Amino acid sequence: MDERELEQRLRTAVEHAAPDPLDRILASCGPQRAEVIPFSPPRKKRRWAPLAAAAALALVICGGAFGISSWRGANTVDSVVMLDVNPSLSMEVSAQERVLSVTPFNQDAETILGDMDLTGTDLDVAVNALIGSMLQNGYLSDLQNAILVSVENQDAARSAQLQQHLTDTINSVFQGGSLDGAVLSQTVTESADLNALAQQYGISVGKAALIQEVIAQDSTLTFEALAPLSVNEIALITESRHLASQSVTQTGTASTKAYITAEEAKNAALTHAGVSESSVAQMEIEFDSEDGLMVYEVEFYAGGAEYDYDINARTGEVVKFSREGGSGSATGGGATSSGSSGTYIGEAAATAAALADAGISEGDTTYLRCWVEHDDGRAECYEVEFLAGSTEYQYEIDLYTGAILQSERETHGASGGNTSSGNASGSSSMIGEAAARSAALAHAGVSESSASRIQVELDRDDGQTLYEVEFHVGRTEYSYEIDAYTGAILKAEQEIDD
Amino acid sequence: MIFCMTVAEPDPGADAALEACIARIAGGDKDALADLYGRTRPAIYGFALSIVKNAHDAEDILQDAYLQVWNAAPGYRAQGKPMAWLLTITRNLAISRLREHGKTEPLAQEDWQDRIADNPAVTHEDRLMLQAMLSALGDEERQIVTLHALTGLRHREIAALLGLPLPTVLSKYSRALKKLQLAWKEAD
Repeated sequence: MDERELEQRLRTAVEHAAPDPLDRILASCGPQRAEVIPFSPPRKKRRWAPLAAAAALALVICGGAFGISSWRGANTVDSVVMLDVNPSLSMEVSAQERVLSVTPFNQDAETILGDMDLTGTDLDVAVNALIGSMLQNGYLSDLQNAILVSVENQDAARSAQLQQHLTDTINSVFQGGSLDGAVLSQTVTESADLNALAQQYGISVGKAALIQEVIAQDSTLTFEALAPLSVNEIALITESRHLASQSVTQTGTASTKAYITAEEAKNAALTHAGVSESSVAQMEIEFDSEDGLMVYEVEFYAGGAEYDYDINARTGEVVKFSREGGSGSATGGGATSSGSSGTYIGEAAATAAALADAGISEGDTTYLRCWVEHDDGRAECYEVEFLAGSTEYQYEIDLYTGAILQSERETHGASGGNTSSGNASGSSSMIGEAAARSAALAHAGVSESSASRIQVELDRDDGQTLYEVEFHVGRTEYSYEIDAYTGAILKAEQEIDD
Repeated sequence: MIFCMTVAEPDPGADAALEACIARIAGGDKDALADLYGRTRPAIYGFALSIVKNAHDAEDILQDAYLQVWNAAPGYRAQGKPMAWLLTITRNLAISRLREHGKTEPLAQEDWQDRIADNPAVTHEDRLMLQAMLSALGDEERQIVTLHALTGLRHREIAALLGLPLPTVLSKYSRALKKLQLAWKEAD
């Protein structure tokens, strides 16, 4: 049975096994409550209305009879602590600073949580583990070094104290990891408005509060534009616009290492405009975000015209520009901008470009599809997918030039090889299985004798030739991907066997 | 364009149809919810099952997922990725469910069979396949294969949904199919 039949069989089995609770679903559909994006499980009620508080007090008084008074003390939510980097999560914490629950708001938070169960751990321990995982998973690095800590507690003094304590804890983890990080901290008060925004955008109430404060000070910024950005990026935008925050305390500086300098952005704009710096007046350069992309907004006057540029902050590319006044007006898109669809090369040409690159004729394909891929509502590229024999091809083609931006091919074969690429190099220069195995064991700090079930397999992924090395030590499974030519460790993973 | 696969390849019209359903659901149309359900039930159930590995929980999640869709549809912003949205809802429900249980507990084979034996639609072969899927694969492998087989999502979209790098998804997918094939042969 080949892979497609196997998948077909699985599909049939699930279709047959799937229950059919439609009637129950429809019967349960009440008036729509417009809960926008269900990113997190329902949160426990933390606020006691006066009546509920009185009831609770009564319970505590006669708690002995029910045997729950001590339980309440240790398990009642006292504070909520939220961490935002790009991973976004919140922890409910007891008065004894024990973590009662952890709620991830996005997939990045799921990633850093992994298998960790932090329930019942000391808050300090949990924060250490979470920051450690963010460092390890690359969410915090020299390039993105800022974290937002938000604390919510009815008691303002307690909030402030916790805020300071957590800032210190995180700074000491940063120091341990030799990271020059920035910690933004604030005390927040939950409101229906903030809750709704947080839910809608899949972020914490803390990040929602930060964004709300920022946009209140600068009307050119919108919630929608800032919500998907990392805290590092938001911090850079606010810094470059000199927005002073009343409620956010910051230690350290957000990293600009991932980006070109403002000077370089200015030069890119001037070069494109064909004007010299000496003839320019009222130059203004600020960070901004365009469809989730960090840009420098460069504005200036020259020769009686007003110029407005968006420069890709990573590459220096002109994303968008406009000129008003002077000798005629012009607007245009740079290489990455969508512009008007009139200048697209068309699906037929995109398909032809992909087929030509693959050396496949349309008649040899059993499945062929081409469409314009959108990201955040913006046209990005043509995506061409086709199947020829048992090989699946995926191409990304530039909308305007027809250039191949990315290509992938994947062969489903019963004979073993799972992915392959056209440009296989001779095996003479590969490091060999033994060296790949040693590299992986050395990285794991495991001796060959203590590892069991060692497997080494030569594999090709995404055009890259690599060794997949797997071994076990006790119940821990290690898997590595080692570059077959350089011996570099491309990926290292450990997981507890289930 | 040629389109002659019977398997769950991405169908250009399918996403648009799902978005149309969601738009109607946002307007309070229960027929649209039934329509969406009819189009996506196996995918949602299969994905839930691949995470929780328990037919009872998967059924609850199936039900809760459509209720959440009903409530959340008014806030849905069309981005051409309705299936990914449905699956995100499913995944969040499934993960909450696992958290409630504390830790993933693989369902004992007997429980699974009892549950499934009640269902007259399930053939002997179906049972073997489901057993192979639940017992032979690692958690991520099972989720990837299920998504690929049932949802029409491409590997890149699966990678985004599960928060895994694309090469990991590709290699896990291929390894999983090999394992599944092996388990199937042994069972058969």
